[in-house]
Amino acid sequence: MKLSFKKIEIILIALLYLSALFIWTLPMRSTKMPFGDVDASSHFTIGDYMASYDKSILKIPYPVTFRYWGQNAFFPDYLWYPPQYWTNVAISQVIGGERVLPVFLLVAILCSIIILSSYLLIRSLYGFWAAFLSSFLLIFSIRDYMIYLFGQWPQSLSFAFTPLVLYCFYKYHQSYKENKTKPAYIYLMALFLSSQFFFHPQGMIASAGTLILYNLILLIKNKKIPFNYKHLIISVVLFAAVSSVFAPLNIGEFFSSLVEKQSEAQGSALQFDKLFKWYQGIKGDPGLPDFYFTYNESHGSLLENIKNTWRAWWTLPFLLIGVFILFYRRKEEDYLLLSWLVAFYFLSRMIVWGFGSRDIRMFAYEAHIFYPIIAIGLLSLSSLPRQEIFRKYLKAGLIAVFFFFAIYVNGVSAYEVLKSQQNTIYRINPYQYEAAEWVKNNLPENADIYDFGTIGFQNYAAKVKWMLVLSQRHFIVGNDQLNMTNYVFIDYSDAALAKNQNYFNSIKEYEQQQFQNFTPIYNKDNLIKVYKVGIKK
Amino acid sequence: MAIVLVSAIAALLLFGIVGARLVLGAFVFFFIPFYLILDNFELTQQEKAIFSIFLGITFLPSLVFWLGFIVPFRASLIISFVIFVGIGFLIKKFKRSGKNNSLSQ
Repeated sequence: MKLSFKKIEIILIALLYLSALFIWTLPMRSTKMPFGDVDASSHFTIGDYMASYDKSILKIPYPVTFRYWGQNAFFPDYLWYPPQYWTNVAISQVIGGERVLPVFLLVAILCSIIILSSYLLIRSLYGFWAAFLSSFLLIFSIRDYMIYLFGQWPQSLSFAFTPLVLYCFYKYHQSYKENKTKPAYIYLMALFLSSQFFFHPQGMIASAGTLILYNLILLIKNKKIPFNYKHLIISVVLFAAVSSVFAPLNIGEFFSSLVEKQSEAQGSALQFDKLFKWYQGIKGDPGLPDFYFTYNESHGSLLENIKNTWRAWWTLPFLLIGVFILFYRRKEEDYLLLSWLVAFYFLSRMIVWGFGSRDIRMFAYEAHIFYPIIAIGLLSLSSLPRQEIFRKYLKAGLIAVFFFFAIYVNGVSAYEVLKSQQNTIYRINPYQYEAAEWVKNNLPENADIYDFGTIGFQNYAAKVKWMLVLSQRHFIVGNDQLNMTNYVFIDYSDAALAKNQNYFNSIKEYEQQQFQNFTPIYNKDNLIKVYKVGIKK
Repeated sequence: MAIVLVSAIAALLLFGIVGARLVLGAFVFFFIPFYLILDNFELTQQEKAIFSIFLGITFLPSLVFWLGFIVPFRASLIISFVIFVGIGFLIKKFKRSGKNNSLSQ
């Protein structure tokens, strides 16, 4: 049986993506308990309500109101994001037949799906190897798997649509230029822009910024408007209609947040120096770790023995060569990538122009544009020799070098980091999950529970929020709610698992002071207890 | 199809029946209806495959969510699936009858 190149290519892409999923699902391999920071639990909970009550919900459930009420400016009682991502969470629970694992498997698929959309775009612009190499490197993209671990899942999915938006416009423009216009592409583009709006408007802004720049370049270069007005108007109407039909309560929120954020940012001084520093010298940001703003760690390795060596910088020369090649060659496909890069540059430093509330979160899609350019830079070197035979050997050698470093530097780092998430105290443990299920089934829906003992409870950190969403009951998540307490959740399980005697003793001391003469209504192996108190007015 | 089966078997080995159910369920609910719709248009195989996944994860939940206020959530998933599959077949039928009409004229 002879396989055509097309079939081999499909098999290779499937293998590539399955390898990605093999690595990205490492955190779920030895334990099925949830993981993720504060945002993760929020993105879990709405879908979880829908599946468990077998109905869609539009209003924020009581336990979640304490964190998200009012975030939808026009409809403060209603969902603060469009419902699509959360409905997918609910669908995954229904088809998976379980509460936690299917959600995290779906999240792994949706967070890594950029590998496929990027492949489609780069394959059509630069051929198989550029697409395969850049998608291969994306498997190990620290930026992407960190967002997956942190929990900004809808944002991650939204950015995965950008290559599709660009692909559709590029194909539309090519057909338009050749007088064989295929308007289907620009209509599909409108649908993908709506998708970005549903999942996270940042992705839509990234796409729109790139499209504006690309169209300006095409207009100047070809001295001709790069689209048909009729097709553009239809696609704008399609985008507006689809977005408002399927997320009618969130359109206003989008525009109001744009205006709000602008006025907030206007208070801060304009920072022109940020135009001259790629990572803007950011350190100690409250929402993002310092390594996020270093090249060697965010595109190399997080491992101690590699991150400060030259190996962690191995992609940088190819990136610079790639950028040079794009500027030097300036074909229409090169302009598309350059527009994406330049749009990224401006969008990730909007503070310079007074729109700075979300700009550094744009760094989330840095790898999506860097990695194709790295692959282009590397492959372009193979065109240096004059003899065809040398070119061929050089190309094979360069590809081998790429695979070696991608696996040895980026791959090993990704594997270690994702595997390390299997046994971390910052994940819900089985005792906590069981207790959360008990709370869900036995305490009233308006219970207000104070957690003492779960790691990070002093700051109402991520695990307390996970307890809230898993139990579907209000765990106190702010000092201003303390006087509402009518149940106390005493949790020794993290202290016991961490084998930290001081931590354990401090919980015991609290329990003895507060509940000496009380009997817990729940007691699991003396590791988790729930007491009813009567201080609610 | 072979790729889906391999993925389902891999998911079964790594995550048990829940993994296999998710892979097969996602393929059936998210992918198939939109592939049937896109199959009516002049797109390459790769385009149809990748666009179907992305349209599926957007428009299936869009309809399921709003139908979920009228019927139970699980029923709305099934109804939405049927609606999208129906749209795919309707477009095919419409296109075929359009072709037949133009041939008979």
